[in-house]
Amino acid sequence: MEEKDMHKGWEEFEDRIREAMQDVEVPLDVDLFPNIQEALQRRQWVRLVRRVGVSVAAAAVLVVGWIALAPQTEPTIDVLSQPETPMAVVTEPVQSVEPVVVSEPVVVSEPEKMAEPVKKSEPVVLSKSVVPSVETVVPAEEPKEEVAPKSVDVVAKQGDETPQAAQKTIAENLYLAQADETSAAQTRRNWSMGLASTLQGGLTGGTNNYNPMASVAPGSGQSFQVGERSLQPLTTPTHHFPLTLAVQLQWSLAENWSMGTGLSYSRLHSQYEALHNNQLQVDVDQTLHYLGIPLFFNYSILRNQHLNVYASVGGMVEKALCMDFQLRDLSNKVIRECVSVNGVQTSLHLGLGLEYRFLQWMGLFVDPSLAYYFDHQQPMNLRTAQSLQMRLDVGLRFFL
Amino acid sequence: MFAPKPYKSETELIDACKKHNRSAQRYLYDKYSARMYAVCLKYARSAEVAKDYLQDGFVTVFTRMDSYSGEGSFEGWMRKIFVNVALMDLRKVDVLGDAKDVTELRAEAPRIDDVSAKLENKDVLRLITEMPIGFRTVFNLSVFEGYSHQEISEKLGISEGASRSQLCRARGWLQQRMQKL
Repeated sequence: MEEKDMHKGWEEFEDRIREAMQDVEVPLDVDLFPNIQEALQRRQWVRLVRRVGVSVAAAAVLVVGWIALAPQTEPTIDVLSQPETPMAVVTEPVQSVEPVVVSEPVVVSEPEKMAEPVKKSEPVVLSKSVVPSVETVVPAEEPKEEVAPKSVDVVAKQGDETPQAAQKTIAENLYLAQADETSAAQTRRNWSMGLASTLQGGLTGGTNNYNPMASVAPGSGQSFQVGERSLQPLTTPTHHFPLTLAVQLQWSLAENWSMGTGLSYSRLHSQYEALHNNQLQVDVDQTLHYLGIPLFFNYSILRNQHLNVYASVGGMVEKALCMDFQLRDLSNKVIRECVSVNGVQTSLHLGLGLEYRFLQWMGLFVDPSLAYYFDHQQPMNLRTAQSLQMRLDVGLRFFL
Repeated sequence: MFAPKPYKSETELIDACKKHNRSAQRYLYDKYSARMYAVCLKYARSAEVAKDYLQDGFVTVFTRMDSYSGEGSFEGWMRKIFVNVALMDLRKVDVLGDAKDVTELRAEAPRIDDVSAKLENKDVLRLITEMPIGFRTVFNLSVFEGYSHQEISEKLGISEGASRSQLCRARGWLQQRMQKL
């Protein structure tokens, strides 16, 4: 058989094989979907841990680098720790100074006269012969004599200073050290105000896990009231990244302790499909607006002039101002409503903080933390779906 | 129980899967798992290994859903992912490590009439899964995925000549099996 024919024969055969296999389906005897979901969550968890690890490593590099490069303060002199050493003595030869005599002494004398009876009114004039001359020596300009010092004996000491000068320097240094300490203490015991925004995400991975703590389960047939409407969720909601902005006020309590409070605004946006009043299928666009008051305590672990690494623990109470609803039905008709929400949302926060003070009055801070949101039967949102969240607060701090 | 919502179009389903909608992922799995399992069976050494390929393949599909641009068939895009998952495992096992260029076998192709008469569609799959894993891989890539011998050699890390010889061996094996039926 010619090769060409053989080749053609195989092509036809393979075409037939390909045709036969085109729509072949082999049903599975096991459901692999739960395993697939578990693997997906594991991958997202690994990705999140990797990101946190990189952030922590970067922060650690920053801390170590800045500590290493931070300007070193000069050690102050501690008098009590100084060994008993003789003071430095500088001896100089005694310079013999010859008396300088003016070549022409100025003599004040009166012309010779007979001693006359002393009259009270008249001054007594003494002759030259009777009274020895009073020589008044008026020192003229002294010629300068250059005297070379014969020897200088110096006893080794910290700083070439005389004892008095050394003590003065020590005292000055002590004063300066105390002044620095006071200044630093004053610097630390500052009030500060911070402006922050927050990145937040769930730790369990994925944003669509059904949360048994939520008041209503999708597809369960249960519904919840939104004002005068009832909504029965049909799909698991999609929770978008929350937006949080905060203003903080912080003050020092003690050497390394500080506490703070403030005001926080959070916007939680979710989307899902629901059955409206048991009749109409609608797309729901839900936005929750939360206003919260945090309370936190910080403890400084590492600190220098510019950098402060601290541990932080605290909590927050939040109240939903309102829940914005947008319902869109299959004919694209849109209904918008804002309803009030009962109850509050409380949370506990634990984390680390890194603050870099690049100006005397201003600095940058980064606070990664874990936040746990307690169940208070709040409307479905990212926090009810995933109670344990990772937060990253980034902002500016102004030192007052 | 919550029933997955049927999606009006594949685009809608894909968009929902891109948003990590669990019900959409479930729907996609239910729709394509049987077909993709058949693809995995063609490459796997056993049914258990095929299930591993299927699980890993779907995880990759859901993770890389954003990379599907909409051009070309979605099923074809998925199939490539599953084939690549299988090939990655086969490369680890190195099924073709000792593949060498051999003299091309001049095997005569079975007649089409014989194939139509003797084999049903599911029998074709069974026949292929019984083929030794080494030249079966080359046969699958050449016949079902349409790769050239150069592309096969790059994917499997073998020479082009080895790819040709493996295909010939696969054909010879098929011919012998068809004659026995």
